[in-house]
Order: sequence, then structure tokens, then C-alpha cells
Amino acid sequence: MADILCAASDGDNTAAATWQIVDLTSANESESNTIVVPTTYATT
Amino acid sequence: MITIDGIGVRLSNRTGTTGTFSVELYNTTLGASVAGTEVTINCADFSDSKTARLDGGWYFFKFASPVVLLAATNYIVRFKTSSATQISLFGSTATTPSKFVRTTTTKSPTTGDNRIVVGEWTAPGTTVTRTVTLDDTGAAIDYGGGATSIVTPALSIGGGGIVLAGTTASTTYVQKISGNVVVYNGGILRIAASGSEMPTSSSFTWTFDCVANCDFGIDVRPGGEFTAYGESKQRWTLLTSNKAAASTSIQVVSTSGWNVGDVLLFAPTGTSATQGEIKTILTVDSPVQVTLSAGLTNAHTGTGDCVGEVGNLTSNVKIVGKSTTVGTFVCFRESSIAELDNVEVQYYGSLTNSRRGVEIQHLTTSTNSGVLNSCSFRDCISSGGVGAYSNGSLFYITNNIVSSSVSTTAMLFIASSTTPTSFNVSGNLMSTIGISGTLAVNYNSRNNATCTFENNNIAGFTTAISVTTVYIVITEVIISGCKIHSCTNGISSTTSQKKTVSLSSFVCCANGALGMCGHANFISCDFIGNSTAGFSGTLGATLWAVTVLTSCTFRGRTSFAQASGIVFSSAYNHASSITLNNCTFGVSIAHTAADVNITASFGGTVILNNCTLASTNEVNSTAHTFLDESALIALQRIDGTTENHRTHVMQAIITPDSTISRTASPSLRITPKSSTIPCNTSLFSFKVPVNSGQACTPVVYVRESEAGDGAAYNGSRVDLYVKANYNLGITSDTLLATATAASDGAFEQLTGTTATVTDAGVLEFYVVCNGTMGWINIDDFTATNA
Repeated sequence: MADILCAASDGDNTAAATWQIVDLTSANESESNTIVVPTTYATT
Repeated sequence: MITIDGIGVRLSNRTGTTGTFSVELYNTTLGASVAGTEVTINCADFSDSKTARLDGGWYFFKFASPVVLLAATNYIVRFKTSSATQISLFGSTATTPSKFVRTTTTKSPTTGDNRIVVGEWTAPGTTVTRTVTLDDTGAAIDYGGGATSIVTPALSIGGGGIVLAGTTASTTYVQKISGNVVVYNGGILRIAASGSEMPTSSSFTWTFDCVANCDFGIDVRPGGEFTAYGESKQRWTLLTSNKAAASTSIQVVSTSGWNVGDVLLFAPTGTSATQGEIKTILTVDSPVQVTLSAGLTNAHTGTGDCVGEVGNLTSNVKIVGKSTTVGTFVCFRESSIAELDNVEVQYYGSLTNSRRGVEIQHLTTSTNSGVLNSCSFRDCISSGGVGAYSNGSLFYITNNIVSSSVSTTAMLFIASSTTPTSFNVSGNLMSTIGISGTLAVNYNSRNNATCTFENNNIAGFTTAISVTTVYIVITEVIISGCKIHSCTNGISSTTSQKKTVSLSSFVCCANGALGMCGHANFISCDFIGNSTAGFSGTLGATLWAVTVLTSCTFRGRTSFAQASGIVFSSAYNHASSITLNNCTFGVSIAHTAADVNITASFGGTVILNNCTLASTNEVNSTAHTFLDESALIALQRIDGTTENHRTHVMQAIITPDSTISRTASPSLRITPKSSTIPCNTSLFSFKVPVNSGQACTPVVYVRESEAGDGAAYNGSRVDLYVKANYNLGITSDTLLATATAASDGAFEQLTGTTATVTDAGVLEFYVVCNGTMGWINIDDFTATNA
């Protein structure tokens, strides 16, 4: 299964040390809604 | 258990810069913040991103140290600002933000993986950039999950993220991707650098493995940067000697930077638009010569009226699509940082907005210029190609080659709905390869004094330049120094925009210029060897056309006849007015039909002032049969000779006659051309002012030629008419007098008195004759009012 990787160190593309895996269950790349950041933490 | 070291969220809008922004991980199972996960930065640390521009991208907040997530525990990401309404984030719903957590598990990217490169924020004003060098060699790994959406890129480069290409000598770098590359505000994508270009011994090729055309490409958002620099080389040059088909030894002006294996483009140089071709360099023999691995398929001229262009299509930095039908795109959005220099882009372009090809957008306002210089854009698949879509900003498209063996649509598109601040489109070569492309340049923009479109060479298209902007004559399209050849139509325009074309040549097209609607000026241009005509009148256009050509040359080319200097061959030419000053026609190589050729009904005016007409037929012999009562062809000071004037009107030719006159030379000679359609001199009427209540008595002397003059006039007796003038109470053209036998070979007075006019004004008088032999002379017109 393919991953989403995020660069975590300066380095070569092919080097494992350059990349860390992003948590797939949390990744969400929608640009369909805008959420105004509130002035207090919201726990929803 | 999972260990994570930070949180990513997606910026939608930076509304304000007041106060701070904080993000943290929250354990909903325990109902408590996770210690060590809160990161706070200034709102001003975010880029000035706007929701509509989609330029925010990922922001990553790194914890002070990694945190272990507990099993059977629920977590959420929470965020806040210290001041209201400063920052907005994107989300899949109004309450579900786009987010990720980064684990500490490392991995080399493999097939199908998406990649995110972004800076790491740890505190207010404190960020660490992340730089990834694309170092892949050997068999290319097909990265990316295959999403065509630009929302889910295969490579996402956000603020603080830097992606570089490897630049080690003697290395063949490769990249392959199934998905889009998106460079967000503050992100940087660089392939080599200015002054440190990709080494000649190395190359970098990025292949976009699209399924359908333009599925994937490079999308550079406002504030993003994509720059690429291939090895510098002479992108295109000129032949210095004629080359026959099968030639392998090629002499050119410069081979600077050319390498064995480079692909050369040879533009067509004859009347066939399809004789452009590519060949490969076998050896670089000298700074001015190469040897090809296979002989030329077609002959190409390197001397004389059409010096053939030779382009080098190869670069060691390449962005390529998949095939001749499945291509890629590069889109530089407004205010992005754009520069491609000596880059080869092959298989690209579609009809879809922002995936048109290689495109510089400046849609509202822009702070940066876009530069495409010395690149090779090959095989545009569909409309758009290389383009700039601008509303008031800067772009530079210079010294590139735009070539295609597959395109049938616009390859260079310049569009602006307002006057751009400045642009420079110059020194480019556009040529097809083995095909006739539909359109090279769609010029849909205004110019102003700081805009330049010059020294562009174009060959192998149905239309080389089409000026299509709809804006009216408040600004001017200026084209200079362009060399256009081997097209069907060199330049055309269907709109009223004022156009000035100077120091340009139109060679071996079918029509050098065709259908120039609106107001067009051609100054010091050459129209040579265009099979139909140097200049052809408006075809089927709905707009008026006023054209002035000054100091232009019209003639044939060795082995390529030009039938006519100017031709009006369509019944839609009625609104045309064309004036030619100090032009030459048919000098050294005459026109095979005529210098001026009218072959369809015509109601306009053609005026030649001080022009040299060297062809056998200066005006085609039947021109008068196509002129209506308002049309004329006026040749003034023919061949630069004093008193050498001739005007063609409906069914007659009018000249000054210095041989036959009544009192003083010259008289006016009218040579009728039809026995059934009378000609009249209403375009040359005698005008007499009269006061209300007066009648006018004109006197004119007419003479009908006899055999002793050279030919006997065989038409009807000459009539003298007063022209209708409703304002003065004369409601129809009225016959005043008719000549008699006394006019045979001698001047006879014609006179009559008009009706009393009812208002002050000007009466006009003219004579009418017909016939197919001989002529009449008119002289000594006078008039009295009473």
C-alpha cells in the first residue's frame, strides 16, 4: 500500500532518512470547506 | 503504538496578522491536551494566502520531542488564535480540518507514494526549511497515487519546503510521477540555477505518467517558485548555405552548445508548410558546422529571400508527457516565481484552463514576472501551448523554439483583457515538423509602448499570426522584425484593433497578409513569393478595413512565383480602403497575374502613391469590370514619374492627356471599357458653389477620338449631367446636353442650365460615355450662376 511521506530531514529523495510516513488515518487533503480558527480550542 | 513528531494542517486564508496561532493534539478519551504537543506561532508567520487562490498548502508544526500515541485512545487536532478571525484552515467539512500527523517511521519513497515537503514550525517566527534533492537515477520509480486533482498532489511543496534537482556531473537523473506537483506559497522547486545550470555531462528528465491528456503537471501557486536551468546553448540559428535534400553536412551561423545526439529542427523554406523536419547530430564539426546522422528529407534554403532556421530541440533538463496524445502541463499562477531557461518540454497542452500547456497567468494583479527563455517546447498536443494570460503584468517569452509534429491549434497564445504593463515576446522560432499547424500565434492582447513583439520567426502554419483581440482603437498592436514564411496566411486579423507591422517579411506563403480588418499599417515589409498574393483583401469579414502600406516590397521569389502584389478576390471587400506609398511591385521578379489584381466585385479604394509597378500587368485588364460606382484604383506618380497618373473606375480608365487638349495640356482622357455599361466621371465631378435661387450654367468641352488619333471612339455621344442634390431641389441626375458629330476629332462645347436651386450649396457636373474603342477628352470646364 502506498504511503504519504513528509520530508523530515534535509537529504536525497531516495534516502530513507529523508522521509517519515504520515499517518494515513489522519491525512485529509480536502479544500472544499473553510474553517475559521476560533479563539479557544474546540473539542468536537 | 505510534510515535509522532508533529501535526500538519492546511492553510486556507490568512485574514489578518494579529496575535498568535496555536495547534495541539488532544486526547478525547482522557479529555486532556497531550503534553508537549502544543506549538504556537505568529499569525503573521503564515504566508499571505487566500482561499480562492488555493495557495496555502500544508503547514507543519513540530513538537519539541516525539509523542507516543496510546492504543485504544482517541485523539483530535485542536487549534486557536489569540485574536479572532485571523486564520482559516481548509477542511472536508465545516468542522473537520484537513490534517495529518507525522510518524517517526522513516521510509524511502516507492511506487505510488505521495510526498510532502514543507518547513517545520516550532515557535513564533521560528521555522526550519526542509530541502529534498531529487537524486534518482536508473529505472525511474513511478511516484504518486495517480490522483488527477490538484487538491491531492503527488508532490506537495509548501512554505519552507525546497525541492532541488541533483546536479552532480555525469549523472542521468530521472523522475517519474503519477499525480500533480503543486508548489504552494513559499514553496520552492528548483532544477539547477542561473549561473549553475545543469552540467552538460548530466541530465534531468521528469516524466509525467498521465493516463489521459494533462492529467498531471506542475502547478505553481501564487508565491510559489519553480525555476529550471538547462545547459546554455544556441537555441536556434540560421542556415548559411542552401541545402539540398539528402544533405548531411550543415552550415549554420552558430553551433554553440550543440552536442552529439541533439535533435535539430529544420523549418520549411518553400511554399509547402509540411517540409519542416527533424534530424539528429552525428558530429559537431566546428562552431559553424554539424554533420547529421541521416540526410535531410527536404531541401532548405540558406540564402536569398528565405534563410532557413535551424533549431536545437534538445536540452538536458526535460519535462515530458507520456506520448503525442497524452501530455503534461506547467501552470505558473499569478504572482508565482517563474523561470524556465533552456528547458525542453515535450508533449504538453490541452483545452482545459490552467492546463493549457506552459502558461504564465497574471489574471488580476501580479508582483512577479514570468520568464520562458531559450527553451524548446515540443509537440504541443492541443490549444494554448506556450501562453501568457495577462491582465497588466510582466512576462518574457524570448528566444524559444515552439515546434510540433502533432499540434493543429494555437502554439503561442498571448491574451490580455487590459493593457499589460509590459511584456516581451521576441526572438522565438515557431515551426511545425512535417505537418501544417493551424495557428502559430494567437495575439489576443493590446500593446503599449513597453510591450514588445518582435524578431519572431514563424513557418509551417495555416495562419502564422492572428490578431484577435476585440478591443478597439485606443491602443495598438505592434509587431516588428518578424520573418514569416511557408504558411498559408502570414498574418490575419478579424477585429478592429489598430495594428502596425514593421520591418517584417512574408515569404512563400499563399497570402502574405490576409483579411486585415480594422486599421492596419505595414511599414518597410517584404511580401515575396507568396503564391496567391503579397496582400489579400478581407475575406468574408464583417468589419471595415483601412490599410496603409509604406515602403513595402512586393515581388516573386526565385522558383516561387507571386501571382499578385495585392489582390481583392472576394465579394466581401467592399469596405476596404488600401493606400500604398513608395512601394515597389514586381521589381526583379514580376508578378505573374498583376501588381494590382481585382477579381471580384469591389466597392473600395486602392490608392498607390509614388509606387513602382514593374510587372507586365500593373493592373489586371479586367479590374474595371469589378468596380462599382464608388470604387477606384488610383495610381499616382507611377514608377516615380511626374504626371504619370491613372485611375481605374467602373468601366473606364481615366488619365491625363498631354497630347490632346483644347487650350493647355493636359486634358482629361476617359477610355470607356463597355458598350453596354456607361461610365461616368461622377468620382471626378466638377463642383460649383451656388446660392439659393440661382441656376447654374456649366460649360465643358468634349472631344471624341478618331482614327487618326490611334483609335476611333465607338461609343454613344457624350452626355453632360448635373448630379442629383436633394438639399438643393434637384431630385435626380439630370441631362443638360449631348454632344454631336462636331465632337468627332474636335472639341465641342457642351452646356446647359440647371433648375433654380432651393438652397445654397454645391452642384456637381459629370459626363457619361461608353464604348469599347477609342476615348474621349474633356477640357476647360467653367460655370456661371444666375
